[in-house]
Amino acid sequence: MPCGEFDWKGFVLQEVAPEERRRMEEHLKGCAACRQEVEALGLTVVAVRRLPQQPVPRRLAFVSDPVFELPWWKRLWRMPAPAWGFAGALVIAAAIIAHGLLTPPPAAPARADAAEIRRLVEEELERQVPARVEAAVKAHVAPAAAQLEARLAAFEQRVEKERRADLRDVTAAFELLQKRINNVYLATAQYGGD
Amino acid sequence: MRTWIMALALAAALPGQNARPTRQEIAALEKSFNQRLARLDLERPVEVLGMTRGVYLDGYGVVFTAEINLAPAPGLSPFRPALSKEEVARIRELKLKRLPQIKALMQQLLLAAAQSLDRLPADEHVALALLLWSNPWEDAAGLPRAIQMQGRKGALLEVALERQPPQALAQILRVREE
Repeated sequence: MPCGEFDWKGFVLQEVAPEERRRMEEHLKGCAACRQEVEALGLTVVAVRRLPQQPVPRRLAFVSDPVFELPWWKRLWRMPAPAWGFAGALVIAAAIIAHGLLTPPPAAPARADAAEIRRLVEEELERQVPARVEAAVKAHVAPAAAQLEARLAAFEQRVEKERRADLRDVTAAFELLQKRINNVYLATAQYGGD
Repeated sequence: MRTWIMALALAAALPGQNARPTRQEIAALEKSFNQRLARLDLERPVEVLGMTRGVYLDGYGVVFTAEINLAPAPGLSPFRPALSKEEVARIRELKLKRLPQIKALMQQLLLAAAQSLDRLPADEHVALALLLWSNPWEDAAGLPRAIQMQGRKGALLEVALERQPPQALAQILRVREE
């Protein structure tokens, strides 16, 4: 019987029938290659049996199972931007509608007599406008007027001072001229003139 | 008879001659004073603004007055409304320089007057007052507006005739500046 027809895995795992096992043992005595294969398999079995015992998971999960689904808030976070924009627009629209529905309508203005209102407004204007105008004038015009007045006073003083100085110089010049003319008259008289 | 008439006329004339200086004598001195004042500096003469006037005051003596400008300056006009500070300072400097010169000239004029006024009694005075003109725009600080000098004729004559040294004038003359 050729070597490839024997179930060496079943031999190592002792899963073959006893009759088949005896024939396989007879073969192993004369076939070095099969013997080497059986030894390798046996080492593998020994190594597997030395692994620690792990409890079998109670439940197997697959990627398609719902256990791998993201929570709703994560799915919400991963929502695309256009969806966000649309949702925001919906919220704003809802808020506007709610505001429109929930806000009570403004009270209708009380109807009053137009002439009475006009009279009251005119009285109030007559009472407040002069005082406010005067206050505004005092606040804005008075400082400028005071400044202008001070400058005018200073200018007048300077002009008056210059005018007096000019008058003094002119008077002195005329006095000097008169003295010179007197000298001419005297000289003329001394030398026989008229 | 003619001798008596001549004697009477001489007797009438003599008291009049010795009583006071004549106007002609004073006028001659006025003219002399004007010339000497004007010739103090021939390059830049002193301007005599008020000619010398002399008058005899009975019992006191002869008093002369004159007005001068120690340093004539160009006048102001619309085309030259003001002088520069340098020009004002230059005029002031010239006036200060001429002040002692004019005082010395006044002493000489008084000595000359004492010599010329023969009819003035020796115990009467010769006085000279000079008014110094200054323009309003000038820096007149330290410059007098008037100088007066007076002394007795006899004492002045002593110096003029060199019987007293010129230094004696300091005691003889009374000087007043205003």
